Amino acid sequence: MAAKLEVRNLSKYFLSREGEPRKVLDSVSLDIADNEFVCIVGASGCGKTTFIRCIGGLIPAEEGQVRIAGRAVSAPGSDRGFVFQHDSLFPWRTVRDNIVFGLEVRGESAASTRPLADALIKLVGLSGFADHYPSELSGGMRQRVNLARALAIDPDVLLMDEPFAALDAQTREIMQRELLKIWTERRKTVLFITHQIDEAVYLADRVLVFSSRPGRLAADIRIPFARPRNLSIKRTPEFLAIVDDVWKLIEQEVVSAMQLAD
Amino acid sequence: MTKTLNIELPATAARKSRRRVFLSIVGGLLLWEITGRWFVTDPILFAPLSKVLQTGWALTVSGEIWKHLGVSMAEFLIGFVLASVVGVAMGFLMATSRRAQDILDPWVSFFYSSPLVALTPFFLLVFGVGIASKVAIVFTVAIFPILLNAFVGIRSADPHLLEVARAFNCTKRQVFSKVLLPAALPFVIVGLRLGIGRALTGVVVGELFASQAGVGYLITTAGQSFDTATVFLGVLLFSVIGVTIMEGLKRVEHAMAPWRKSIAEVR
Ligand SMILES: Nc1ncnc2c1ncn2[C@@H]1O[C@H](COP(=O)(O)OP(=O)(O)O)[C@@H](O)[C@H]1O
Ligand SMILES: [Mg+2]
Repeated sequence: MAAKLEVRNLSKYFLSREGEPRKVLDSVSLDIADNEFVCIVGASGCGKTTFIRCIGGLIPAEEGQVRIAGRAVSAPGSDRGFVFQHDSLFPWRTVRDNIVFGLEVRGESAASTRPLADALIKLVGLSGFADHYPSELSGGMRQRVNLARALAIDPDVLLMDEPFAALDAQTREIMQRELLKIWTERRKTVLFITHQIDEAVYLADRVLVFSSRPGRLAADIRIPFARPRNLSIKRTPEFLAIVDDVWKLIEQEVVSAMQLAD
Repeated sequence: MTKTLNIELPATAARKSRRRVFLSIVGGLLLWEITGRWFVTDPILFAPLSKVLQTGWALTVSGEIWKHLGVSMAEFLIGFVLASVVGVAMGFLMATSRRAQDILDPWVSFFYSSPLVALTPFFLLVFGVGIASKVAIVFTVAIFPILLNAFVGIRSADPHLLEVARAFNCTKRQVFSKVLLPAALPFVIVGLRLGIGRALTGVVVGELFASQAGVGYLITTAGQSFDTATVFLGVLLFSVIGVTIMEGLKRVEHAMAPWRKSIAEVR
């Protein structure tokens, strides 16, 4: 079967402060099958956000190609739904109005989007909060809205950039479980970025490991666990062994990234 | 052993606070009355509240007060509305066009910090002593804070939200109406509030300088005939106008930006 998302030899350069081009992504290629859940892990600063922004068409890549369902893309489009790392809800819109943003932009009326909005609010577990503003929600609830907003346009591919990074540990685990539940109900092709290895191994069919400077694909690991997955698999020896393998692949880079940050 | 916590319920605190505000107002008015009645009894130097209210009543019955209020309000409203429309439009233009910003910015910065009310004699020479000169003064002093805040409002829109708009394929127009405009709204309101203060000053200064009608005219003529009660009445009228308009703006703000109220409640 043809891949839903195809990336071929994608390279990206940024200009350094001195005006020198600096390679941030080095010829990255990957294929994601229909309804596959793929996670990318990598040290902070290795180019994960840059990669997903290129796929989303938010920034141009100097070399390479991105295809969604066979069509080459270079600009944002409703075939991709973006869930952002930052708190990116519109503070002046209620939960419902945030969720239908993408539909409203396409010109759909509030009345026609209402049933879908209500269904999504229920799906992400926010019943009763439709008319709340983001400032009245917790961090976990806001990321649920963020997800619902991306699902509303019914994209071919869901692009998620560290959506749970800012949440506390317990909320994050609950959100991981919820995400899998939602994904089971609304099958989607997902590219999910994280710097947390256990999050990637728990969620994904495949974990792709990014190496740094420049960002390159260093490994492609198939995760064998059956679905539906319970959070308790995180404590099994098989799970921990995979986490350990991935950790060994990026340990050196995580350490050097930390030293650079110092 | 249990210790009793000494925490006041918010409702009780609010009630106490309201009572203090009320007592402060009544006390102040009382002090005014007592001072005028028993301590500074010379009618040229001071006038008690009751005398001022009496004067106000007489002018209301004769209908004169409405004429003056009407003229002052007209000067204020025409000048302020013009300043708001032109100021907001120019601020948005400056924020969205690099070229407009480069051309306008030095002048805006200069005029924003200039005491433009000093141009009053000039406007009187050009536009005469009627309403037109006051409208010109009001417009000139009010426009710059409005313009500058509209500019800053657009510029301070969160870049993450602009990226969301791009990810959802917004047209330029949609980016403006769905992201930039709501993001700028609180700043625009701050600008309008500053503009109101300046516009009122413009009306007062313009009318005191030279006029044929208006609350400022009332004050000047009363001052020339040593009628301190009417002078006080005029000042009181200006204050009432100012407070009323500020309250009106607060209403508009609540209606246009309900999410800001919800932030305040959560805090
Ligand atoms: N707009 C930009 N201009 C210049 N350099 C950038 C820009 N965005 C990201 N970078 C650099 O590219 C590298 C990768 O960044 P990023 O993709 O955000 O990493 P990650 O998401 O993996 O933490 C970093 O070194 C970062 O400083
Ligand atoms: Mg990132």
